[in-house]
Amino acid sequence: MRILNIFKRVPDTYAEINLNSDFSDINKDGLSYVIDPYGEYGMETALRMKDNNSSIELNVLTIGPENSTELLRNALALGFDNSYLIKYDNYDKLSPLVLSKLYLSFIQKFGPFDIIFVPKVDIDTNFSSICGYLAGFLNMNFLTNISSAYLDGEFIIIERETDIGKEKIRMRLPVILSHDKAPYEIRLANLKGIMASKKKPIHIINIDELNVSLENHIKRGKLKLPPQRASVKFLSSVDELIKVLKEEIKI
Amino acid sequence: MKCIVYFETLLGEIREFSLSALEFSKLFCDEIYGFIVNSDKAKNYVKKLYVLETKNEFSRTIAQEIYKIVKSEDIKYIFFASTNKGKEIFSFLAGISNGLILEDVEGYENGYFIKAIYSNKVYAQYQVEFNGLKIIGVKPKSYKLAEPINSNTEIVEIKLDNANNEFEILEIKQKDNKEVDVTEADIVVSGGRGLSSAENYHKLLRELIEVLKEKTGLKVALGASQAVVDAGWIDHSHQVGQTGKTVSPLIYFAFGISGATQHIAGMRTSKYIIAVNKDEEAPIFKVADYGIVGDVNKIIPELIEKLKKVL
Ligand SMILES: Cc1cc2nc3c(=O)[nH]c(=O)nc-3n(C[C@H](O)[C@H](O)[C@H](O)COP(=O)(O)OP(=O)(O)OC[C@H]3O[C@@H](n4cnc5c(N)ncnc54)[C@H](O)[C@@H]3O)c2cc1C
Ligand SMILES: Nc1ncnc2c1ncn2[C@@H]1O[C@H](COP(=O)(O)O)[C@@H](O)[C@H]1O
Repeated sequence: MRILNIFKRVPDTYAEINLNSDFSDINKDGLSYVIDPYGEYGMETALRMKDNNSSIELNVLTIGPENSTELLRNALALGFDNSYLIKYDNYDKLSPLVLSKLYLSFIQKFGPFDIIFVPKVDIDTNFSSICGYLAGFLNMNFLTNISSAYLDGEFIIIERETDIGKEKIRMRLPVILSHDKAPYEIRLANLKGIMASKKKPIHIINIDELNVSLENHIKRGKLKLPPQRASVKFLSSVDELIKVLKEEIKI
Repeated sequence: MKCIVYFETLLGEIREFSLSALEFSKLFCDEIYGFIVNSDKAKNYVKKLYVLETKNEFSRTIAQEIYKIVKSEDIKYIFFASTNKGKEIFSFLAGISNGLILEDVEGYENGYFIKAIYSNKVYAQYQVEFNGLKIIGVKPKSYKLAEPINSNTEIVEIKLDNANNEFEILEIKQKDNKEVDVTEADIVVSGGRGLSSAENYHKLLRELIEVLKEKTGLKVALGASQAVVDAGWIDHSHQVGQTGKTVSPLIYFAFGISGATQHIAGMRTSKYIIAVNKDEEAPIFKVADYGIVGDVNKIIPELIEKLKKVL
């Protein structure tokens, strides 16, 4: 059994985001980058599968500049067996269609995989279509926004939250899944894992090797910060709050 | 221009968000066809309505059926409400049709689609240059609702007997449908670690919600910070923020919530933000319109008592 986890390299979620002077991009000075939180949840679910069956091969893929290897090294320290970087500096400007085609080309070269996990949304670009695109290209079973999953023979049992409530679904492998927040905590690497990671492979793939046109059909133009909210008015009593509710907000 | 608008249903009713998508589609289309599954509730909104009748409402099946219409009718645009269900159907349709999907769109200005990025910390403009099928997801609550039109709607039924051994729903735990979802509410009453315990959180906030509902007639929902979801006080479906839901109600109450950037990412577009926190330096006050520095254990009961008397 082979599993592939795809994550996105994103600015630390604690960071304030500012724009550069011509509003063409965010100001990246001093930003630190992390594995996106939904990618992390997907990785945790895959690691749990391997906890129960050590013969599973765990692969992890991301796209980004050369120093993204630091993040891949973290994944290897957690227990992933192989890691891959599609090297491309301007990765955060690629449209989801181009990104999906790059991942597709990777899967065709290095696959097949029985399970592919992707983040439910790339939190930098706020696009959430990678899972559907890949499932459509590969004509594969898929499900989005899953909370957890475990294996059951040729099947996978998945739980997720929907607008109706909670669903439990059984699907036949292979599948591609987009991961939402999980109900369990994410593990941290231990010393043994960190030592072991030093001997594990990080394969660097030049973007040209994937033979995908990088022409974006969705071109991002100028950026803008949300309007500044007016500064807070402190109220000194509940009576004043009631007055605000009645007279200003008028509920 | 011929377009399809997808009408999403929830428990047999059309989701209001689909009517925003319909209104938005009118900027681009003069011939609008509806598509709906197992319902004819949308028939007052379009001249022609495709109704898919099926026992298995799989996203994949729905996408494949819509794709057949796209091909036979030469459809150029599809519009849908950018819900999880909508995104699931239409990202797959984008894959099988080699189409382009742009979801969570909040507006259209001077030829640019507007969408929030970096967890709602930034807005971006997008220009679409694409000859194939374009699929646009309209973010809930970002556009006004379409009005019904009076027309003799032509209904086209598609009956499908799709057995499936690839995919089986084992269980659905339906949530209490009297409980309003945070994304649909006019008022969200949220609590964080400052509520000190699960009992206190439920007792104080639910009582306040009941009074607000009764006095205003508005839809009021219970929200939470990640800290209290992780502590097991309440289900993740109530979490607001980066790894929870994005809300933009008329009023967002933040009780005992510090206002971490990941929380603010999910509620900063609320019309009015009212925060109560014992720490006047708490970052929540940077986004709040009104603030009370004080103890939630005193303020919330007093607010409940006084609301009962007035409004
Ligand atoms: C990747 C990532 C994603 C995240 N996603 C989310 C998310 O989606 N949503 C989210 O909420 N968080 C999220 N977080 C967590 C976030 O960073 C904060 O840890 C969290 O929001 C804190 O919750 P809180 O405000 O309830 O608790 P705290 O930060 O502990 O704040 C409690 C507040 O209550 C006040 N208080 C205490 N007692 C009282 C009292 N008696 N009366 C009045 N006030 C009182 C305190 O002054 C304090 O400000 C995320 C974090 C990461 C790393
Ligand atoms: N250049 C832009 N880039 C991104 N979003 C924009 C731009 N101009 C306007 N908007 C959008 O329009 C809304 C209203 O903008 P304003 O009229 O400046 O208050 C903002 O919240 C954005 O959604």
